[in-house]
Amino acid sequence: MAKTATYSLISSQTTSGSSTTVITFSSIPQTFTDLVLVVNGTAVSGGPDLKYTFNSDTGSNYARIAFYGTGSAAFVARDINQTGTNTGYLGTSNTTNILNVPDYSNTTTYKNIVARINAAIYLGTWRSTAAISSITLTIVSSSYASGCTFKLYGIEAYK
Amino acid sequence: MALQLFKIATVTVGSAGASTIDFTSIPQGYTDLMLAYSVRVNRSGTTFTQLGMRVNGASTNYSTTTLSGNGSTVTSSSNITGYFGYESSSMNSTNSTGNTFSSGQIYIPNYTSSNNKSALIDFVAEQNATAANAILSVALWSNTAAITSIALNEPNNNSNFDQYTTATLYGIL
Repeated sequence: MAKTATYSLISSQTTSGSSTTVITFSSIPQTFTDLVLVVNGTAVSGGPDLKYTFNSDTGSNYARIAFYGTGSAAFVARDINQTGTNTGYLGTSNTTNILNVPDYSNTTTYKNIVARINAAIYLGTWRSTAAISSITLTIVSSSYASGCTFKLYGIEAYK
Repeated sequence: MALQLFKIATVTVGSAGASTIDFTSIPQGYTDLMLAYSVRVNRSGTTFTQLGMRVNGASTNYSTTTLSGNGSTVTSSSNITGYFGYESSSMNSTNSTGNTFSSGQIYIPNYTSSNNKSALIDFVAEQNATAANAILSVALWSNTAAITSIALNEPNNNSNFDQYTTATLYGIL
C-alpha cells in the first residue's frame, strides 16, 4: 500500500477593515489526524484574548490552563466551566498563535487544544466527545485589525 | 491533498565545525517559515550559551520576551538585542555532557509580508546533569522587509558549531 502523509491547508481567511470580531471555519473535513491553526496579526486595541468554541457550543463546557511570562514575571492561570476556551491572544504589535488540536475527529474522547502564543503555552479542553466540524475564534472586547491571517491546516499521519 | 510543508534546505556541520549556518536566497513563494535545529558549540568554559540569529543581515530592531525554566526556577525576561530571539536559546556547549545537543524550533508566519515579523521560538537544552533549560519565547523584528536570509552563529565568543549540528529550513504554504 502506498505511504502517504500530508500537511495540507484546509482553509485560510484574511481580515479587511477593522470591525471583524468573529472568524469561523466550518465544514472541517474529517479526513485528517490533527488540526493546526496559525493566527497572525494584531488587535485594533488592547491585548485581548481569543476565545475558541467548537461546533457552535457556547455552553460552560470549556477549561483552560495558561503558563506565561510577561517579560518581568512568570504566571500560571486556570479557568474551568467557561463558555469558550481562551487559548489565544492578539496584541497591538504583530502576534502569532499556533494551535494544535490532536485527534480532532474522534468520537470517544474530550478534545484538547495546545497553543503557543508569545512567551506562553496554553492547554484548553472542550468537554465533548463530538468530532470537531467547526471552529469559531471570537476576539474579546476588541476587533481584528485589517490583514490578520488565519490558516487552518490538516495533518494526516504517515501510513 | 498536496503536501504543503516543504524542506527548503538542510545544513549539517561536518568534522571541521562551522562558524555560521546560513540560509540565503530564501524562496519567496511560501507563506510561513519554520526552522528546526539541533545544535552544539565549542565555546570553552560554558555549559550553555546563546544562539544568535539574524535575518537579512540586520543587527537592529529585534526584541524578545521569554519564559524559561531550569528545573527549579521559572523566570521571564524581555530583551532588546542585536539578534532575533537572543535570550530564547540555550545551546549545549563544551562543558555540557558529551554528545548532547540542544533542540529548537522557530516559526515565522507571513515572512514575505510588509508587516513587522514575529516569531514563536521553542528551545530545550538537556544534558542529564544538574543544569538544563526549557524556553518559550516570542521575538519581533520591527522591519517590514520580506525575509530573504537567515544566519545562525554563536555571538558571545564566535565559537564554532560542532560536528553533527543540523538546521533545516521549511517553507509552508
